[in-house]
Amino acid sequence: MVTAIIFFLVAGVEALIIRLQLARADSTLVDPETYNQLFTMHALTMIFLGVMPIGVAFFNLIVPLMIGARDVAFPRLNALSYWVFLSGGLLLNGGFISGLGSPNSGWFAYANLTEEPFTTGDGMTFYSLGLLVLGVSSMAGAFNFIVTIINMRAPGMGLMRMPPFVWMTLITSFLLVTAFPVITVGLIQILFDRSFGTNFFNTQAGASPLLWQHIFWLFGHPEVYILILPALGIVSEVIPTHSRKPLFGYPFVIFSGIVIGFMGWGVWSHHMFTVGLGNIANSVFTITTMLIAIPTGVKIFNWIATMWGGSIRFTTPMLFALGFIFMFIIGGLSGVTHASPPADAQQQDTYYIVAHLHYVLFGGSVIGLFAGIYHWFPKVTGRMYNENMGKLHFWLLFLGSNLTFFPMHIVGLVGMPRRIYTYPADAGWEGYNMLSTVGAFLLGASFLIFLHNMVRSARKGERAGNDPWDGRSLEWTIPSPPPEYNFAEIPTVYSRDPAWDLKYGPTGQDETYRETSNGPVSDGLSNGPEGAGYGSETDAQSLGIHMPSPSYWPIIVAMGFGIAGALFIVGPWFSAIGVTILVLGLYGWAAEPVSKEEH
Amino acid sequence: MVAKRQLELFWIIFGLAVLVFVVVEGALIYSAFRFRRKPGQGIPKQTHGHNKLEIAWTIAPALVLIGIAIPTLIVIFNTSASGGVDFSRRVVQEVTNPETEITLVDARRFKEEAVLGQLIAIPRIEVTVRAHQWWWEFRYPDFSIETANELRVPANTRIDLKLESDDVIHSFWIPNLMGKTDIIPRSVNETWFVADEPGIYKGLCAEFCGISHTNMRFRVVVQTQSDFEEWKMGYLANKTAEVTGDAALGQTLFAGKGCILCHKLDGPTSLEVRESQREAFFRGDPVVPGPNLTQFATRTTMAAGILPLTVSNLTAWLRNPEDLKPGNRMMEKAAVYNDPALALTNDEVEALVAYLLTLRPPIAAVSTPTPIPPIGATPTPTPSLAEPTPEPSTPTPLTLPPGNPVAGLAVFGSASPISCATCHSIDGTSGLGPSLQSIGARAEARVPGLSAGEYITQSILDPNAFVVDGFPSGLMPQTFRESLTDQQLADVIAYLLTIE
Repeated sequence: MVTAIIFFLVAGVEALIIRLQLARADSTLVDPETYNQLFTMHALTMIFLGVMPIGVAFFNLIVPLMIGARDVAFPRLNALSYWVFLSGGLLLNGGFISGLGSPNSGWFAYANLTEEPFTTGDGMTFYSLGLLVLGVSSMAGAFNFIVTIINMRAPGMGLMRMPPFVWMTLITSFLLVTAFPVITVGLIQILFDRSFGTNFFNTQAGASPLLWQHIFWLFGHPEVYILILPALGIVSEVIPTHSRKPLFGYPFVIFSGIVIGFMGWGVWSHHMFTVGLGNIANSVFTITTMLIAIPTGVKIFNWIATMWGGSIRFTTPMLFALGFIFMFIIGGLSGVTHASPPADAQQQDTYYIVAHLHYVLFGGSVIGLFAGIYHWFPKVTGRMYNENMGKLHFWLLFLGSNLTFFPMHIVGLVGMPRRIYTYPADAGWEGYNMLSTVGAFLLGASFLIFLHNMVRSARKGERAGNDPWDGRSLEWTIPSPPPEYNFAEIPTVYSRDPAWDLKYGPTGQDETYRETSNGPVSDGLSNGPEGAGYGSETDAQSLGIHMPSPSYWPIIVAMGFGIAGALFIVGPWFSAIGVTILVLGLYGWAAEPVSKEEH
Repeated sequence: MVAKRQLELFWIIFGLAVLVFVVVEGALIYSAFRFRRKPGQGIPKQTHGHNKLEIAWTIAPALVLIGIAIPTLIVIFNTSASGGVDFSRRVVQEVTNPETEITLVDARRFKEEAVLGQLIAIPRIEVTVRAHQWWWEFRYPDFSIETANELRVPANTRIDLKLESDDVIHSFWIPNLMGKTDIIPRSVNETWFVADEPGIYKGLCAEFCGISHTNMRFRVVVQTQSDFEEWKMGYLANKTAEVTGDAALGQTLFAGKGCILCHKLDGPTSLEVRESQREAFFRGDPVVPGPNLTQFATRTTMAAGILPLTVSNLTAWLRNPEDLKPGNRMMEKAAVYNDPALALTNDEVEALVAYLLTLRPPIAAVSTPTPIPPIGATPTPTPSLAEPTPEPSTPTPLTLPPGNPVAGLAVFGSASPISCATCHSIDGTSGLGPSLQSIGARAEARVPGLSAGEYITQSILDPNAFVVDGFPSGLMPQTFRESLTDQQLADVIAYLLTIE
């Protein structure tokens, strides 16, 4: 999580440089080559090293707590996933680190621009190697979550009693394991074209460059849902909790998520409306794309209905959740405007698209993730964040993001294309760009407030207690921070809101239930904030709970990936060294003796 | 006209989107305030769902989307290159109001309808757009015109575009006239637009295409029919203003410094030459496709629409193109920027600028158009002279007719795509290519097993087979096999063998 936030910070700084460059016409702050590297790396870092891993960090921290499990199914695979992510992240940034030049063809890196002789240098090699390694990390993590969610739920937690966030994790994980192989094929093709002279995308040898676009977007659109589904899950947790009402239309919200996951595979060509696929293809993808708006709309209506008649507390996470819905509606509606190919013909590749994607990825994913960070901060750290600073963060960020991204709609519609390093003064785009830049710096300031709040509160914040929000799901029944084994006693689940039921009885309305009942909780919540529902303050061993022993082998294996990739830049055969480390690491991992404290 | 349709559709969708925005955001904000927690409030009623509501808010957005999808599909088909499914009905409807929307109709069928005498047929012009890193080539196959970076079209004419790319993917966009259509290497996309009003419209490349993607713009100059005809005649007349003083020096430099290898300035570049330049680029040779500069001074902008065409901009460009357009091929490839011996002095830049600005029709040139041969046609054969000379004993793999050195001298000075004399002197001084002084004597000894005649033939038809030390490979056009007739080839060889 911390690593992801650091990468997020790096990408944020890249964005600020881009905004500074574009603030005025004919600016010469950065040269075009640097600019091209900046916008490419901004996107890659935000997507693959910022937003995705923060989502995955939530899966790790929260999913076992929500399903009443002691840990994920394969803790060492989890460790491997993290270390491979780190080495992939460093590899992707290898161009900056080594000074050999970063990827510069945009995050979707359209062939055949990525081929010799149009792109020379090592940037695109870092791109394909970095993403290949990150793919390994994502797949390892995703398999782990699938197995965890399917196998390790507490007794009684049927699939339709799983918290919505766990559902969205499951869907996201399935998308990860199905989407990443697609891009892996494409990345290997680019790598081979560039390093071994194959002709997958070499138009001189008769290849069609559109092949890459199909491969990329067949991965790329599910990837978009990989980015947004965790946020949808978080919001579906935050809104009920802070409205003191169960999620309205639970099955509809869950099935909307599933439908979005499936339909995400049938819309990729809407990124390609202008490439000349023909009327029939464009019409079909228009309709499939528009259909996705329906389940998305259903989710939004259900959130509003959840709030309806509720008792809403405007805490920081709730503000972020509301901000999320507000921004996501705008992003969704602008999405519908370019689901229509003739309208899209004017919007494609302009700042209008940049505006849209930031409304869904920043206004959507990132704000949703912030809601999650504030919501679970007391659970994970055991301390309360500063509410006033949290609110200041929200309002600055909300104002800043609208100021940054809203003018982009207009400047895009009046003709400003994306990925230009400057523009002439007579284009009349300066005012809008200046607004965006000012907004971007507000965002930067809000992020500093956030960091300060997190660091300070994690050390000095007030004690939060087990259940600061009057929560509804299992994680609020155990101490904060959770002990390393999470649950002293594996709970049995009888409904969708197990924690709520423990407090307010089977009807969920009984304010005195906690005092009067003598269920399994009587020694838990009723003992006051420091007590534990299913928790305990004693350590794992005295409770006789089996815990995995730590191991260094996953790090060695992950280093193998990183070194193999880095040496590939020097020469393909040098990667053999990294591969050797990888294989030795795997061997050592498999052959490691069971440690002594285990039985 | 296309842009207008796209805009209408956008407003429909935008209107519906605003409606949805107001309703949903309104509901969000209302419920947030209405149901905020009040002091002492108990547990709210724990409601879990309502099936009828769910069905309602599944169907409601579906209806809105149908409202968007129907006009969308209609516009997709109406604005596509091949015309509409619902076509004949449209025509019948529009017969009553021929002033509107007629261009939305497939024009081939439209002409049939026009026979009925109801409508005025709209003229069509075909233009082939070829995108390059980072400039635009425009060809008018109907008129033997090729120009660059400035597309001239008459108003109220359907411009049928064929989009091709020589290198990477680009995207053709004239915001005020039509939406984007991508340009994909190795395939041809078709689209069209109609401009209602004369004027200058900005266009640009909308797909990231490399370091100077930002600097890949163009202009569409929409003129009245008669102004367009005047420009066309001026181009076809291929006459330029008087070249004197500095400009005359510039003219010499344009050939002598090798500008002419990539930039043609007397009519369209033949497709064969373009293809050979394209292949040369992929081989890494110092020849690439370059913008055609015929009638250059009639353009309003330069360097792919990034700057107004002025003396100072042109001077700055020629001094250091990299400054204005990073990564451009001219800086990368041209001898004058890479070979210190050929570098341009300030005076030479001035002379070149002066010359380039003469590339416009002289006053009244329009009245006497001399058509130039269509693209790809062979040049007019040089008239044979009365005094035949014996055929040089050069048994070549080709059976060439007897050569005439006098006719060969003419070919030497006028061969297409560029003349031999542009690069090769006959007096011992080196140009872009080796001097051909006493080539007959040296040629004999160049390549073992080839006679002088065979060696020269090979050097003309396949210049890279043997390259003289100190000269770049790939510079000389490889299209003489196509552009010279056998007779011309024999003549020029006969001539070369006579040079002392």
